Amino acid sequence: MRSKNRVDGWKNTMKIVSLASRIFLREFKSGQLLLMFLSLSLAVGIVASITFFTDRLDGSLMFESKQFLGGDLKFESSSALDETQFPEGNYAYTVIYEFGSVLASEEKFQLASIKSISSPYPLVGEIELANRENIKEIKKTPPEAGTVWLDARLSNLLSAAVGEKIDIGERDFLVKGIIISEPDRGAGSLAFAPKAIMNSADLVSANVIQPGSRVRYSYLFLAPPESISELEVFFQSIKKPGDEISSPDNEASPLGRAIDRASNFFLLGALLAIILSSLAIAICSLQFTRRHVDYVAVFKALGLSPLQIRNTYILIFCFIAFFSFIAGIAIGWTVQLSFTELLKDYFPTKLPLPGAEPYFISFVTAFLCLLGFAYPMLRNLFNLSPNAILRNSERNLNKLNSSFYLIGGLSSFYVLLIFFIKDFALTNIIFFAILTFAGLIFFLIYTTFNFIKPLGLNPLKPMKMLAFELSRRKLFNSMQIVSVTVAIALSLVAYSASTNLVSSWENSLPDKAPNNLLFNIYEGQKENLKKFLKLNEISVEPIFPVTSARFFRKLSGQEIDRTFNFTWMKNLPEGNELVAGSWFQESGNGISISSEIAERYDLKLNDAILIDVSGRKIDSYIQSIREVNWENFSPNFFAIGYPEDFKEISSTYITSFHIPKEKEAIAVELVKTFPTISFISLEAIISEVQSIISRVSQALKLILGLTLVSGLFLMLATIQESFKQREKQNAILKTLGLDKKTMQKNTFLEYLSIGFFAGVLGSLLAVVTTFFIEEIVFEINPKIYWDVILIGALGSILVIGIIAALFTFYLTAKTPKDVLRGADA
Amino acid sequence: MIIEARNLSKKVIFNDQEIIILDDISLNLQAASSLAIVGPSGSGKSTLLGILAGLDSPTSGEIFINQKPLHLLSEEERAAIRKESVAFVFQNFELLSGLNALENVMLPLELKNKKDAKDIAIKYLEKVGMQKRLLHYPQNLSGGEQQRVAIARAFACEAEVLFCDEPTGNLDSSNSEMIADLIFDAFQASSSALIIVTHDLSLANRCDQKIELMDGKIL
Repeated sequence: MRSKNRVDGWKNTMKIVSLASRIFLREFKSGQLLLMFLSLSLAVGIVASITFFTDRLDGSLMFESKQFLGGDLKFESSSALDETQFPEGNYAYTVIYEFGSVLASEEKFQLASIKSISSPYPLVGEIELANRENIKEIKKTPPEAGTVWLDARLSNLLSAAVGEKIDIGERDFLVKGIIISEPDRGAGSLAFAPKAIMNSADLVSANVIQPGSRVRYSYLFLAPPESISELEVFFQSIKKPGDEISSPDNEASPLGRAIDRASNFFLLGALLAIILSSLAIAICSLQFTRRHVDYVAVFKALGLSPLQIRNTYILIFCFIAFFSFIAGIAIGWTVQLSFTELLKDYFPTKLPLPGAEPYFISFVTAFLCLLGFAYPMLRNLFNLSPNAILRNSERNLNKLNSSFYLIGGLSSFYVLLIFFIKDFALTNIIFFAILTFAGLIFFLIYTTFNFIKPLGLNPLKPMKMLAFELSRRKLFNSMQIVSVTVAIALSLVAYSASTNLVSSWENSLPDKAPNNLLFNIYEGQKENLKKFLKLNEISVEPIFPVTSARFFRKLSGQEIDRTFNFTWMKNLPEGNELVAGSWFQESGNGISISSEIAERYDLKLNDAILIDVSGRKIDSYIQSIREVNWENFSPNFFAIGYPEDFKEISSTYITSFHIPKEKEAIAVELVKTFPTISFISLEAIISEVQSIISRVSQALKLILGLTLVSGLFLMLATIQESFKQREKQNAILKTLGLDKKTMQKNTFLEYLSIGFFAGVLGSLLAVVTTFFIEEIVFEINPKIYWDVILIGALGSILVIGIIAALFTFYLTAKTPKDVLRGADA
Repeated sequence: MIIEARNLSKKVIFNDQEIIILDDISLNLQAASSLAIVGPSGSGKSTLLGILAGLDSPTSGEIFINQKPLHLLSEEERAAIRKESVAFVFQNFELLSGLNALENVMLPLELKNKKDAKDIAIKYLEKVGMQKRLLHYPQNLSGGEQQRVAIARAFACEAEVLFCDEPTGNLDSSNSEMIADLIFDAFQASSSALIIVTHDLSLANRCDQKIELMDGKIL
């Protein structure tokens, strides 16, 4: 008995699957589902392309970043840790000692940064060395005891080649290689000093670390994510001010930073596509539901249970979701291939294949779009009375519950916004702004149409006919214009973003950004340098004094464990923004620190500190905290004082300036004239950043271009829906003798007027939306783009005119008999 | 008794006013017999048909199909009875536009898990002279042809009761006659009971019994 029930259950399921697949195939073949399928596929495609690309790039950058860090987690401290206290777990770790010491060769002495390592090292990546014959060697272990590796700079400074001996502390070492590259190259205060790498086994015999020596202890870990989390918790619990916990960070590379900055644009593109597609899906599902009222009435008469009917339709929409997902993934994959092709020169490593997340996000997008925008309308079908088969009046969808539809659509829209924006406040701003604008436009149009009181329909007087049509269906027409307005507005936002917004990002690095950095300028060279630059018509940026300073907390007397590059100046430097406190006054000034330093060392406004600079101790306090733009290629400082307070302090100077391409020779001349000044050309870095921005912009334009297509789909869906409503009326008018030409003229005029209304409103909405996006999301100086209004109004009249002309041609080509027999077939 | 209705009433509230659509209707129908329900528009014919077929519920009274109390059943249970025991022919044909003629006839058979649904459907379509139009979609068929497909669909189900709601209402006189012949030929060849709601007196007169409704009451 039980097995018979199981067989019957299986047969019933197969029956529903067969019915659903037949309806789906038939609908699909007849093109009825085409627009819904295309809209959903495009939304999924845009989301998939972005997530595929960022996921693959993340994987690649994460690997590079892991190499840069030297592991999955790094804990740095100025004191050694009790390693027996480390939590148990599945991980490998190594300890690195970094300190400064004087190295001696037969001829020279040089202060250098020493990195002392022991096995296992390196935890990730490898060390590249040049041997005596200058041939590259790969090492995956520390140097043997009694040997050291030097970087090329230190080797030159000491005049010590491979195979020669140098002294560190109390013993000598054999130079076994020249460092080409190494993992965990870090960016600490000693990172730019000449470097040597030795084995920690030699530390005791070299007696190079004495009590009171300034040593930086780095603990590097390689572990699976769960162990890393445990270790992070442990280190957070023992972390003292000045200690640092680092994990791989994608922003370590210029490409990572550019993609990170572009993420808002990508997000904007994805959101616009989703909103546009969702609205198109809503309209298409309204058409679908209307077509299927008759189906459900027959199904009910034939004895299909409510559950079977529900399952049939849910299955049809699962098919739509599945095929849209597959098509979307294909679109996404193709688009991301063009992204990777654009940016292939900048990938640090071969791109890995994407993980599961992009597929999951794309699926959720498809699912939520259908659930929120199609299901509530579909649900009306399930509630149809079985008696509807006998009474056409019970098949009227207008009688069905629209509040559920509204709630479903809005909830789904909100969830999608949260899902993509991941910011509650911004989601609320966008959600309620769109809702308010849509409501206002609807109210405006509806009220206007309410004032039009035409007398009867006269197809021979186009304006009267137009007034009649607009006022008679004022509710539907208002909704239609709102929908087309939203399509136009969001398409224009995408257009505006792809031209104006992306351009403003591209121009964020000005043409004359400093491309050269000079430091170690002595007091006596300052004026000569200025003269030299003036003579060569190079505009000089401010020249800042710079010296190293140590900070102590006044209350505890405890040193803030870091030597800072310290400067003093009267005015807030360009690219800096005060986030707390006030800038310097004439007297009573303290110092200004960057927000990173405030956070890392737990320094607060008005904290009293003692500054040890050039052997002098100066009492001060934290007067302000600044947000620093580290990407502007000008000298930037963690700590700044007021000039009057430091006028007795000796310092060197630092500056940056722009040498135009045609005057490149000046750089060589400058190095010759001032041989002791350190000179770094930033040209290569700047052109790489500019090139990356330009390539990423092209990728963005592609996404925003696809978003425009979503807007077109929404317009098509909206106009198609209104044509369905007019189809029968036109057929009747035709049977009453209205000629084809008049009918075409009337229909065309009506759509042009809708295009004009929607075009003007959509353009205004786009300009306002872009203004707020610039102001709130991108935090750049907002502008009013008047060209968008012109392009929007004319463009939408043109596009809607073309769509209307095509539909009009299609409509008038049909005979009234065809229309009246099966308008909705 | 295949259908037994006792004291059926149907009332609806419209603009705060109670409107009586059916008032105390009782009737019985034997297997393999036919009943015509006639009356002017608005007399309650279609409402009565809907209640007898389990598409609608009475406000009060009892209705049994094959001794099963429709008035006590849920929509899910009534749907099961419609699937197993009932078939319809409608004025507007009600063929599914997405399915061709053959698929339209096969559909209820497949819902009943009939193994040879296709063969049965072809057999009934041949009976109504539609063998050359098996793969045509409804919109490519004339009204008379669509109704022939609908009749094939109804009789192919071999249901215990066949309900016809104005089956000739949308057809011209020659097509009406042909459709009436088809219905009665098929009815006589089957063991089903037949209930026809119609304005067409010639069609009503071919039935074993006839009731006339006026303002929701049997005259």
